[in-house]
Amino acid sequence: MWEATFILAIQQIASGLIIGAMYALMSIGMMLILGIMTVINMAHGEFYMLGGYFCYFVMTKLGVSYLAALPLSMAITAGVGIVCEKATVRPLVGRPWYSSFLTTFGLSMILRDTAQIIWGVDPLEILSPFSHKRVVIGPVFLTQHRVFVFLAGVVVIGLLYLFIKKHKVGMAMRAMVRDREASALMGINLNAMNSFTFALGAGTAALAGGLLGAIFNVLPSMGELPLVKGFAVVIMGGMGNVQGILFSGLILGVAESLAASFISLGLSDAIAFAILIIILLFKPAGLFGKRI
Amino acid sequence: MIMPRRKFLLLSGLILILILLPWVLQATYTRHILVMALIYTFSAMGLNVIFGFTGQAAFGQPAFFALGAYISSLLALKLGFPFGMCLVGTLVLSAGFGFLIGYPSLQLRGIYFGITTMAFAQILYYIVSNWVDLTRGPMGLVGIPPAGFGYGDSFRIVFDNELKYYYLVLAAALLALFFLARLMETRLGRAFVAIRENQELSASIGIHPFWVKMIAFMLACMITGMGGSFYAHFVKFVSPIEFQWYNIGLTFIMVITGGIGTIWGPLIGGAIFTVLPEVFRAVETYRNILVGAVLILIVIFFPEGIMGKVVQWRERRRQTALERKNA
Repeated sequence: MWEATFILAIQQIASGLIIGAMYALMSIGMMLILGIMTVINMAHGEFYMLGGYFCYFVMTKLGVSYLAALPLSMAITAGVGIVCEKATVRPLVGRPWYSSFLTTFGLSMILRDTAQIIWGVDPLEILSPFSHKRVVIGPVFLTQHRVFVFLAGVVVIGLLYLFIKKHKVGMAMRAMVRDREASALMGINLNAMNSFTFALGAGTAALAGGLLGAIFNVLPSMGELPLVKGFAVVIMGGMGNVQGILFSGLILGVAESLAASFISLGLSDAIAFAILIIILLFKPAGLFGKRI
Repeated sequence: MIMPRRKFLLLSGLILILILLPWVLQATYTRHILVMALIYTFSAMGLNVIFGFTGQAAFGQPAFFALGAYISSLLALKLGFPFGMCLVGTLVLSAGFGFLIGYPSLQLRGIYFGITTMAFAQILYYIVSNWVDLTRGPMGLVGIPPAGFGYGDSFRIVFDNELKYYYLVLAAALLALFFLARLMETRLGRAFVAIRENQELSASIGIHPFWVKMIAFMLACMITGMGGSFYAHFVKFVSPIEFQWYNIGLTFIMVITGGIGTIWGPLIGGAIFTVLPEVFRAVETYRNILVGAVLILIVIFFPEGIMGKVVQWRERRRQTALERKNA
């Protein structure tokens, strides 16, 4: 009995880590957009949704393999992200931060309902080549696809970390978090950087959508929960801190899937926010937080 | 409140129009929309207190509307409270929830305050949808009794049709508006605005930002919750859908369209953005797309809102009059 509980717990931790990696992937983009542009991107969940749909259609319409469809759908969604930034965020320079919250909120309504009109409300299933093969690690059973999702998430976040730390553009991004005016004086093109940040955020969200679309399904309203979870992770991780986001995402994923099997399935979604509030009460700068 | 003659005439004219409006629009459907517009005005008024006057963008406010609706219906259904008691209970409990949620959230500022209130709104949603024993979960609460006041059977008014309910909600909305108008002329009201303009500076002249913001937040929760209570006893059905995201953006856009931090703004904005989705109902499939587009356009091109424009116009007129006098 005790042993069975233990094995269940380990199994839940494993699947929590996988979901957690995806939460982290969602939140990275939201954190960058929030930190660099001071924009709460309410349409981020819709980029996640578009990623899933584009992945599905690139695979079924063009007959491309899953591994090639993922970067393609990332690129298309990044393009959509650039257009959206130009239309809804660019005109608001110098306005209070809630202005862009509202325009991206409107954008999210438009994108979601457009998707619903074009593609209908029926869930679509992305077929991953790894879906039906099993991986056994000790007492834990997983599909190959879930392992792939976890690895892809962690690798992409690691690459982003290196990019932001080492690359010239990443350094410019960090400079913009510190001081927009000063970085403009140093010759950083703010508009181009904003477009790039949005494209990066949309692309990573699309990757999460394409990866998770093969585990769950693709449907127009799929972005809502990842969006709110994403905000929880951003606050938990503390701003301007890529590794913090990864760890917070993983912690949240594990806490949720443990809560789902040991407390209540329905309330597991509320766990994120309960954790969030506890952290805010005791460590307002986030778990890993130096706040910029 | 001493007011200039012209303002007095304008106000009485506006109130007269509001009183006569349901006689111009006599169909049950249009009267229903009129009542809904007034009910959502409470949501906008509440948000206007914390966001418009005090400058703290709270994204949880629409959840307090749903919470108020649930509190009021549960008081009526489980405890058999009469409507008046439900309303008072909703006000007290909304203030209580406002305190519990405001205490951790108001430690933070700006965006972080906003996101925290959003998190609380989500928690409330999950609790309400999962606590099936109390709230019947996603099935919602049905059979909420209509609003009525009175003692026994002989002295009893029941607001059982659209017209009666319109006057009930109108009276409450006007009361709330006049209360707010008065409040904004007191020390406390000016403290709200001082914090919006500059929190550090206001702290330096002896205003305690945390507690003043707390009062504004609790007040906002009470006004919004009151709207929820009116909603529950009018529609007679509440479900967790009232908590949905859509309402957060809509409430904000009501406040902005009306004019941020103006007394009458929320009434105007609330009316416009209750009627507009109904107009777009003719093209049901595209409704959210149209509302979303209008939202974006208003924020980009019309951020002062209607009352904000009126204030600007009045300022400009005063300026030119002054210049003419000096010349």
